Parts: sequence; structure tokens; C-alpha cells
Amino acid sequence: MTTREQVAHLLRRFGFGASRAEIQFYEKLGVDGTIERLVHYEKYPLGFTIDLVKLLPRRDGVIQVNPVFMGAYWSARCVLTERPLEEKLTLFWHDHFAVSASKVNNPFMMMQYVDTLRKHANGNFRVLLEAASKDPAMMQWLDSQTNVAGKPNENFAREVMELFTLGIGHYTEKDIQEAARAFTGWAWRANPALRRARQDPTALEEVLKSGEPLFEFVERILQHDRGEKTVLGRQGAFRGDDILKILLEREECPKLLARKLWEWFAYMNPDDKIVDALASQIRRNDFEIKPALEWIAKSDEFWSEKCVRKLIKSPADFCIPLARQFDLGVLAKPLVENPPQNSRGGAFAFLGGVYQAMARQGMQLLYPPDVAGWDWGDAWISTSTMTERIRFADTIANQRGPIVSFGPAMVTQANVRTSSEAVDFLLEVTDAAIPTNRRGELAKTIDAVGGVQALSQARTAGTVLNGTLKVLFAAPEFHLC
Amino acid sequence: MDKELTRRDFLRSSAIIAVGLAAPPWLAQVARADILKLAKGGKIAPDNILVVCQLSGGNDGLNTVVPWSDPTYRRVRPTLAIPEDQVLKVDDALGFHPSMKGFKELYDARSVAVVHNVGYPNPNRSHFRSMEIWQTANPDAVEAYGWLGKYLDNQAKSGSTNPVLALGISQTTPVALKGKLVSVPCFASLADIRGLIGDADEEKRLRDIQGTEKGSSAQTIREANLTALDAMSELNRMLSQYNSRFTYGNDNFGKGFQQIAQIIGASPKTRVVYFSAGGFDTHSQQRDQHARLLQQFSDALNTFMQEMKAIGKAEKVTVLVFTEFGRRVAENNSQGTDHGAGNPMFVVGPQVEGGFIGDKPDLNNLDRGDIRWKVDFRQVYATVLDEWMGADSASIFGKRFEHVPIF
Repeated sequence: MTTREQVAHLLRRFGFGASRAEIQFYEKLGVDGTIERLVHYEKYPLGFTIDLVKLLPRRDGVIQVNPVFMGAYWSARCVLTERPLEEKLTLFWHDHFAVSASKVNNPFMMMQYVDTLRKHANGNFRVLLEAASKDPAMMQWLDSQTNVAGKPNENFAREVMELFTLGIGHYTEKDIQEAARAFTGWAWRANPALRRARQDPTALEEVLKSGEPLFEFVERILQHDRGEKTVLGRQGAFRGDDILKILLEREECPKLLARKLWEWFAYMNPDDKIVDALASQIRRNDFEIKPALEWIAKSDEFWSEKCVRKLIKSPADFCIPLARQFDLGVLAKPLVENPPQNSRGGAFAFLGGVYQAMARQGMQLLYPPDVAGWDWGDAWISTSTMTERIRFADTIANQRGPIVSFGPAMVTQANVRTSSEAVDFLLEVTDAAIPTNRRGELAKTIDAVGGVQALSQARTAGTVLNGTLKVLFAAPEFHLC
Repeated sequence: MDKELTRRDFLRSSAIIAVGLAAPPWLAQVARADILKLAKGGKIAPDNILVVCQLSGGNDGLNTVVPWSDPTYRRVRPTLAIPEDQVLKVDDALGFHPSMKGFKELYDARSVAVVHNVGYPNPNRSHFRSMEIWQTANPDAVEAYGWLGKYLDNQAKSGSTNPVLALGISQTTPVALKGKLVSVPCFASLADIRGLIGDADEEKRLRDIQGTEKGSSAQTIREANLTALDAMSELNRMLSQYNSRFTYGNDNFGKGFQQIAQIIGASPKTRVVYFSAGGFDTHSQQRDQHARLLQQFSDALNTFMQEMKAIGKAEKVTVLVFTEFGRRVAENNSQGTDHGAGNPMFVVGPQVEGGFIGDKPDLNNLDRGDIRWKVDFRQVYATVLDEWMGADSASIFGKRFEHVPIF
């Protein structure tokens, strides 16, 4: 593998795809430099600023926003960011600590939850587990708020064991019931300004601008069950924090985390040997996330045949890289950084196009299907999701809905002379590895849908690009990264 | 009263259904199936259609089929128990949730079989594992293929298959439909089917780029693409010729059943349709949400059966309704219910012998706070596969399950 190919592999896994600009930038840093820059992202600039408050849609001067808008805003961050791993990890944790707006249904609470995940995304899993567990959206989602002494609600206690730390089969129903008692008294409360905002809409505006949290965790001691509990063989008058500590001490916890990280960044169904090695590495580093990521990126397995271009792209791996590769970020940045007073629709259409496409492909941000998040790997692929992926060509080349076209501009400037040159150009832009013997099909397509001449003219480029990308996205290999 | 009904009435006595194994030899289910086939004219129609409707999240069976006169029910559900005067009563013990008028209508027409206390050994209270168990019909091990996938594999082996034999209305493919040989087309909505293929040339280009290299993940993707293209070329024309005259709700159930009706109306080759809708995981503030979901489900199912009747397909359709588990008998402190075990299952259609099957749920003899299972769900699947689809359930489940008197 050349350095260029290695950097591209890293960007596909620890970033949102390899756009030409990114490859050019990271190639100069070399492989180790690229890993460092991607993983220790907090040391480097974001590369954009979005003032969410300024961007929020308003009606008659009053903020009117739903969770879908927040999801679209997040997808915009994914497209614009120069710290791609930050968003990709946040997405990983959104899947791991899955919370859906279908129940929480409060845009600000959902945003605060995403901010919590992002804040700790490459930090320490211990800290993240506590932060995510006590996040108001999580408490709303898993009914912690109503889990009180005398009448425990098992929802959170079950999922923290099954999904967040141990995995199914490593605890008993009794452990869940006892742990639920320990979590009694956990609750959240709203910033008083929110109540004020009901009378005076500007109050919400002020709190948002101040950066103060809108919701916060509280422990209601009177609703806590102070009795003895027995959880996983340990006995005591446990409180919620004690249970989290007990769970982190179990050997299954780093294993669950290791398997999941490996499957997200490397490949599905790893051998136990790899999982165990990564798990003991995680244990040794006391749940620090960055060393675990570096361990994955520097392992021989990560660079093996079994891994490179063998992982099935998630809808995020499919849509966001394409948006970045076709310079959607460059086009959208001024619009979202400085939304024009009277045409907010333009910016929102940019953001919404990618968000909606991902949703139709089975990954709607802020709306995971259930408490376990999304299923990965082969599960991303169905007749339905593949149909939607192929139709993403319509989004890029503006044939579908109120979405601003973002593909053709780049293509008209490419100065390609033959249809096979055009194919090479498109494959380079999209970092695609289509077997040589089938590239002819793409060239034939270009000829059939208008020809290379039409591709160089702004008026006709969209149609040709649309027809060609459909066939490119229908190629099975395009969906591996 | 004909011979068939007498036998059925006998079968319904709970002692036999309860565990299944105590049935007298002359009722061995092979013989029973034979009697049934004879009674119905010798053989099972080759064009029977099975619609499977999955209620995701764990539907609260006790507030669906309500044990309204049981004092324990009122005691352990102080806020959630359905007030007696609102229950759509069926008998002196049971009735349906008040928002299920459409469902009750079907029940009164003897088109609904309610199988009580359905579950499986060592009930699992995790959504994912339990749903997987129901879909793979294997509580003992994790499996890659589903019960319908295996049925479809058998059809493929016997050569009687086509690209739209089974369809799923879903974004992802449920494991229930996954087979070793077959790949079942699933679409989030039928509108998607019309969007992809412009003309024959375009279809050819989309096919040609698939390649043929074996192995690897590309194979999964290629299969999905080809399945989609095959189904599209089959369905595209037919769907445009079918127009529904019925109005459905604009909710998941309404939209789902409307599309199922469209598929059945348009595609004579389709025999299995799979559909799921969620929202049943009611840990808190259950009352309104559950009422809304049941209303949507019941209205959609009722309209669907009307539409089937109007197009002369009613006699050909059976709907199987399941959920991954019931909910805890006692409510929690959030006016909701936690994960439970045994639960009723519904089989709906004019060919069904309507009524309650098995003992009513016993709220005083619980398994860790949950209804004990008495009928294995695979008994219901086996009955439907053998007696409705003309399949051999034993080859699908690896063993024979006692039938339940549904048909």
C-alpha cells in the first residue's frame, strides 16, 4: 500500500471518507501523523463555526424547532468538520447509548445529549458511562425519572447491563431488579428559565446564548431506596454510582466495548483473540478511549486483507463522504455560518438533504430504531436501503425534492475529454474501487445518458451525472469501505 | 352443528391445549390435519396468503385482551386497568381494549382466533433476544435464518418460487424473512419500487454493473440489488393497475395495511407479506400511547379485511399477529409496565375458527411477576404453516409441534 492508500484507509474508518482535499492534506503527515491528528482531534481546530442559536428556525421571531432540525444540524457538522473522528465517535456513542427523540421529543434535550456524548467521545469510558447515564435525555428515555423507592422501574437497570456494559447473559433478572432499586432517586430538572420562556419567548433565547444547560441531573434522596441490595454477588446499600462502578469492574465490560469498537472501526465478527487483546488494553488504560483507537489503527489486523475495503458502509459512511467529496461543505459553509436573514430554506435544504437520505437508508440521526441502536454490517443492506442508496444520485444531482444540487458544479470544471476519463475522474472523487472489468459499464452509461460533452456544460451536467452515479452506486463494491 | 364444530369444541377444552403432550393418540396432529384437509375438500389451496404483523416493543396483552372481572387485575393495575364499563366485553371474564372496536367487529364475525398464554421455555425479557427468538423460532441458539426464510427456502428447493413470492414492508430485512437460498425484497414503501428503474436500458445498466465475483460482503449487496430489480420489474406494472377504494389512517398501521392490500390486490404471485410497527414498549405513561396504537392497529386491520372482501380475496388471507413478549402483570410507578412473558397471539381471517383458545391468563400463578406461557409460539406457527400454507413445519423447526385449533 502506498502512503496515499494507507491514509485513505484511515480516513474511511476514522473519518468520514477520503475526499481529494483530505487525502492531499493527510498524505503529508504520513500514517502515524494522520492517526495522531485524527485521534487527538481536540488539539486541532474544527474548521467551521455554526451558531446554532442563529440558525434555529423562527416563526414571528419565536424559536420553532423540532428534533429533526437538530438531527439535520448534526449531519451538517459531520459534513463540515475538520475533526471527522469527533463526529464519527459521537455517532458511535449515539448508537451505543442509543436514545431516540421518538420518546424524548424535545429538541434541546436531544441536543444536550449529543453534546454530552461529543464532550466525552474520545475521553474515558468510565466518565462517559456516568455522563450518559445521568443525561436528562437518557433518563427520560429509560424512565429513570419515575424509578422511585417502593416501585422501581427496571428499564434503565436492564439496559445499562445488557447494552452499555456487560451484554446479555452476564446478569440475572434478580440483578436487574436489585440494581433498579439502587438507581431510584435519579431525576432531572429543567432550568427555571425554561418555565419563564412559556410566558416570555426571549427567555429561551437568552439561556441558549448563555450556554447554560437547559436540563440538569438531580438526585432526589427522599425517593431513593436506601435498603440493602445484592447485585452481581455484591451486597450493600448501593446507590446508582455504586452500580456503575460494579459494572465497570466486571471483565465483560471492556470485552463488550472492545468488540463494539473493533466492529465499528475495523471489521465484523473478530476472533476472540483480538477482542481479548483489545479488552485487556482497555482495562490497562483504565478505559481511556484514545489509546484503544490507536491500538486498533496500529494493529496488523487493521491493515490486513480481511479489513481494507471489506466493511459494509453505514448510511453515514455512504452519504457523508459523498457530501464531503462533492464539496457540499464548501458550498454550505457560508450559508450555515451566516444564514441569510430571509432565506433560511437554502441552508436548511443543504443540511436536510443528507439527513433525509441517511434516514431513508435506515439511519435517522436522533431516531435510532430502539434501545439497542442500529444493527450493523449486513443489516445495513436490504432491497429497500439499496434502492435508497442508488437514488442518492438524485440528491447529488438535484432530481429529487427541495434539495440543492451539489454535484454538477465540480464536474463541469473537471475538463475531461472522453467518457473513460470522466469515469476515472468520478472514481477518484468518490474514492471508489470498482473492478477494472466493470468500469466500461460506467463509460457506456455516460455515453447513453448524454455523453461527455453534456457533462461539461452546467445546463446538462446534472442529468448525466445523475444517470452515471446511479449505476456507480449500484456497483456492490461501492458500498464497502 | 356439524361434525367439525363438535370436534373443535372438544379441542378447545383447556386440558388438552394446556401443555399439548396430553392429547389422546387419535388426536395426534397428523391425523388431525388429515381430518381437517378432508373436511375442507381434500387439500390446502395453493394460493393462500399469509400476512405476518409484528407489534414491536412488547405489546401489553393484558390491556389488549382484558381480564376485566379478575379482581387481581384491578388490584395490581391501579391506574392502568381498563374501567369495566369501557371494556368491549366478550364474555364474563374477558373483553377487548375500548379502542379496538374494529377488531371486536372481526371477532364477533368469528374471524379472530385469540390464542392465550403464548410464549416459549425460559422466557427472555430482552427485546432483541426475544424478538430474535420469535423470528428464528429458535429459543435455544442464535440462528442466521428465520422461520419464513426456511419456509421460502423449501419452496425454492421444490422449484415453486418467484421474485415476489414474499415481500416485506420494512426498511431493513427482518431475520424472519432471511433464508439460505432466498432473498426477500423489502421496501419501506411501495412508492420506492417505482422510483428506480426508468426504462429497460437503465434496468440493464443497473444489472450489468453488479458483476459476478463470488464471496465477500459484495455478494450480500449484489443479492439485495438483484432482488430489488427483480421485484421491481415484476411489481412496477401491476401496482399501477391496482387502485384501492378504501381509506386508511395516516399512521404506521394504516399505511402498512394499505400497502399490504395493494400488494395482494396487484400481485397474484405473492403469498407471504411481512410488516411490523413499533411503539409498544410502554414503560411509562402507557395509557394514551397504548390506546392510540391499538386503535390504529384495529382500524387498519378492519379496513384491510373489508378491502380483501371487496376484491374477493378475503377467503385467501390469514393474518398472524405477534409481539416479542407481554408485559409485567403489575404496573410500575410510571403508569407503565415492564417487560413480561406470556401473551395472547392473534390469527385473523374468515377461514379462522374464531374464539379464545386455551385457558384465560392466570394472574395468581405468575412466573416472576409475569404470565406463565402454556402454548409454545411454534405450535401456532406450525399450525399456520401446515394447515394454511400447506408446508411441512417439522422440516422447518426440526421437530413436530402440537397444533392449536385455529382453522
